[in-house]
Amino acid sequence: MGNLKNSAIFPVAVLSIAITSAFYIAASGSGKYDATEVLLGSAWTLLLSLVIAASVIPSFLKRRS
Amino acid sequence: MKKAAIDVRGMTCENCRKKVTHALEGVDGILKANVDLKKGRAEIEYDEGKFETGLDTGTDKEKRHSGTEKIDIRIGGMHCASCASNIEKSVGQLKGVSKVSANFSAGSASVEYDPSLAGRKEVEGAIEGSGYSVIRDSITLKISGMTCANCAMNIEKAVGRLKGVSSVSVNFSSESALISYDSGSLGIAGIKKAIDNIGYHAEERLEGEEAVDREARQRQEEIEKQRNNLILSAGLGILIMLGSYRMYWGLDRILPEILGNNYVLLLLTTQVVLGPGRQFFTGTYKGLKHGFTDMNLLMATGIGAAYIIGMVNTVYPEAGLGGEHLIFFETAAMLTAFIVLGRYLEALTRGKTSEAIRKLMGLKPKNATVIRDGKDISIPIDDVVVGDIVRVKPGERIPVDGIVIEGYTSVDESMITGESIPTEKKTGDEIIGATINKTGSLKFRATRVGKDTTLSQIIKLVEDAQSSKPPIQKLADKVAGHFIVGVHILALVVFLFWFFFGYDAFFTQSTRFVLSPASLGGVGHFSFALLLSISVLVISCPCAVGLATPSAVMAGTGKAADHGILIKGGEALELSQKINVIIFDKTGTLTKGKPSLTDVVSAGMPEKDVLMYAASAERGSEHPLGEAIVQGAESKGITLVEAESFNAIPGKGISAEVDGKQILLGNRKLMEENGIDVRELENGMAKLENEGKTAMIVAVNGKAGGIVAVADTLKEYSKEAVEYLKIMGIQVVMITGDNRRTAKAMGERLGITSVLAEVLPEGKAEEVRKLQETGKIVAMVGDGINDAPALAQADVGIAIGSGTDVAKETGKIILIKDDLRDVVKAIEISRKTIGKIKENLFWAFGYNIVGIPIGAGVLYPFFGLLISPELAALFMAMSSVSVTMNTLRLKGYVPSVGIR
Repeated sequence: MGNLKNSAIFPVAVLSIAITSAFYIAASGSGKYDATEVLLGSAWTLLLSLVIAASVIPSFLKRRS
Repeated sequence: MKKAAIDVRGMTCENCRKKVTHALEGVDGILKANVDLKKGRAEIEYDEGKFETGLDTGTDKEKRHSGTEKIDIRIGGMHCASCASNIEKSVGQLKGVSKVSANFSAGSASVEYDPSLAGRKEVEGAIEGSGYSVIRDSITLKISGMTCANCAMNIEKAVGRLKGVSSVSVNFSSESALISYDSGSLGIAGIKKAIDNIGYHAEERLEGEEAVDREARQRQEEIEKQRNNLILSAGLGILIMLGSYRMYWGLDRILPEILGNNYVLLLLTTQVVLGPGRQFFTGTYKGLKHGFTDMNLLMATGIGAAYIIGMVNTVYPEAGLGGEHLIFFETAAMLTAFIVLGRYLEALTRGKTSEAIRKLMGLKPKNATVIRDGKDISIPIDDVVVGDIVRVKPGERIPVDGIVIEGYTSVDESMITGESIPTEKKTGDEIIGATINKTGSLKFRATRVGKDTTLSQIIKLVEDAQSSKPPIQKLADKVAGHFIVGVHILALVVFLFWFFFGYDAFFTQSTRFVLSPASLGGVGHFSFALLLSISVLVISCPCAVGLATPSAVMAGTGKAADHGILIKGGEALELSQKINVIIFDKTGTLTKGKPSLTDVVSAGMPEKDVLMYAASAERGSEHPLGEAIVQGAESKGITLVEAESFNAIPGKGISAEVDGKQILLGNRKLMEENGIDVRELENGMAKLENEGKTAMIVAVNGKAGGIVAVADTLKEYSKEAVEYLKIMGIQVVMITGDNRRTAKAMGERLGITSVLAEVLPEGKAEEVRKLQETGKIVAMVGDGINDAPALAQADVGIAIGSGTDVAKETGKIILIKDDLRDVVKAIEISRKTIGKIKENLFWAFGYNIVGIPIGAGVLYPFFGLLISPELAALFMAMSSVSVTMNTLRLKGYVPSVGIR
């Protein structure tokens, strides 16, 4: 897993918010789920995508530089 | 206006480049700054009058000068000025190196290079690639706060980034870090700070008894902590599970109603989560605070999510997470209990794999009896100084290394050398600390004390070896590193799949987890998808992958040390099992290196007389051949007489008068010059010479009387070792400076067909290189002093019979006792250990390969099989334990040769 440096915080935040937003839009747009499920689902997605982004992005930036 | 270049580290993007440019241009005197993100370099133009770069004011060890770095490297193995020139040539060929100067007498090289093109590692690699060794400072630090193999990788990354660090290897099992660094560039405090900064704690390893006590105490504390956590979490967990399932199996008839109350269960679960489970949350927090994530996060998210759902369903059942019948408290509690069980078992078994070191440390006696001012006084062993006269009574352990000055005894050295037969010791003999005096009283002078004793050196070597990693582990670490991010991606995919599609397509009201009586009927999309996502996170924890290699390396090197074999690190272990050619130095390795009398041939007089005349004549000689004849005669009980008028004739032999008779002893030339007819002895001479022996004619009063022959004799187990190696499919080669005929004869006696004869000592390394060029993995067995260059050149250098100063030996494997069968044992142990590592990795990855799909619910649509997060945790704990148990089987391994 990555060591999150200051320079990576912004891209990590962008990526995880993007994934979470996609989840939120898909879940709330379908009309199948109640508000709590969508909210908690978004929270869980955000947590997992934060970990993923924090692991992937620093090494990606390092390779690019 | 002047120009200069500066290295800039830490830039990762265009924004960083702009920031640096802006900062530099803001400095008074700097006219222009051009920052290159890719090269990590800034070129500046400045006004000399206004701005001083300070580029020439670095330390003595390292200076920066217009974009170049200068480093001094200490080098071992240089024997002459041409070695220095070889190093200059090979380092000079590296891209980016502008200047290199190797100093043979100082044993060092000074190298200037462009850091954007070359680095310390490349320079050191080029030096080692030319057959020399780079002398590095190294330190072993004790690390606390690691919870998994990933923590070890985090520390490696953080320390590896420090300038001056050549290599770092962190062993999760032994909680230690072996760091090789340049003390001119970096201090120990800097390394410790880097480790402390990322949330772990590093301290220097203590020597001796204090270290044993502290390590044992720490290990015991960890075991006790996890045991208490286990008792609490398992006790409460069972209670919570019974309460949660109170409505099933008729439990409502025996359990009080209050136990089924959600608020009571919430209270109990809170104790589990905040008590034994707290370690996962604090571990996660510590990691995140320093930008690192580890296994604790997997556990904390799993436990935390189950607990929060339960709490929400208890306090606010209308939230839409399944209501008050789906509380998942048993999941949170049992998940904690099973993960703690895994940690407890790991702490127990980790202690067992490092038993070898503790056993060695335990050999050191606490006190010694020294004679000071004519009195015997008992003092702590750490107070013994070099030169002290030490007294040891029968049955006592010898406290330190020394030389016997009085007494005769037999000493059990098995704990150090692996040799079970006691060795006799008399005045002038060396004795090793920690061995046991069996029969007589001894007085000896201490020659090595404290950390210089043989035992301390062995402990240090074994510790270093156990902290190092074989290449196979680097691969496993890499896989495990990517594995964690892969698991999170998978957990997200599993969550999304079951949330959006799987639940609607496959979920039925009667769904239940394996071994659970309660149906998941009321569970909604989110809770169902979340539970499966948690199961994936928990079951995927690659703890077993992290334990697979270090635990086997510890057990393997420990087993080798038991047999008096010191394997210096994981790389040696891995290479040893690949050896396909093994080269033995002849003199001193296969043979005793000392001539002895082998044959006496008579011609017209009794053999006894031939030997008596020859030995008596040689009595005054100091030549090794003469000494061999005298010793041979004495061992046969022949009484020698005093020789008169002894005369050595260089290159031919000797003449002397013995018992009134004129004796000549020497080669054909000596006989020819003295007109002695040797035709009768010619066949015998030829036969002995063809056997590789040195034959000498004995003439008495002008008449040839017989032949005496001497030869270097084979060591006791040389032939047996060669036979075993051949059975193992290894090609055996003998290398010697002797002439071809002698070498061939010796080879025939040993069953070695590949003989490299007439090779000068300096040519041995070249012969090793030639064999390596054919693609073979070559081991060289030699005495470690004369053969040092060849041992360094070989893929695996095996130094044999080094005696007591093991730390100074060249070679990746050191055999403490002079027994060639240990070469076979070393290879067998390395094969067994690497085999064990492969088995462990197979099992560790196997668990994950089988477990992850089950955890993800792949079997659910087909067989209705679902695994709960707590069962996933049990499965994961078992994988770590089974890997360690498999490793522990190495302890019972007995080598096939030379069984004690």
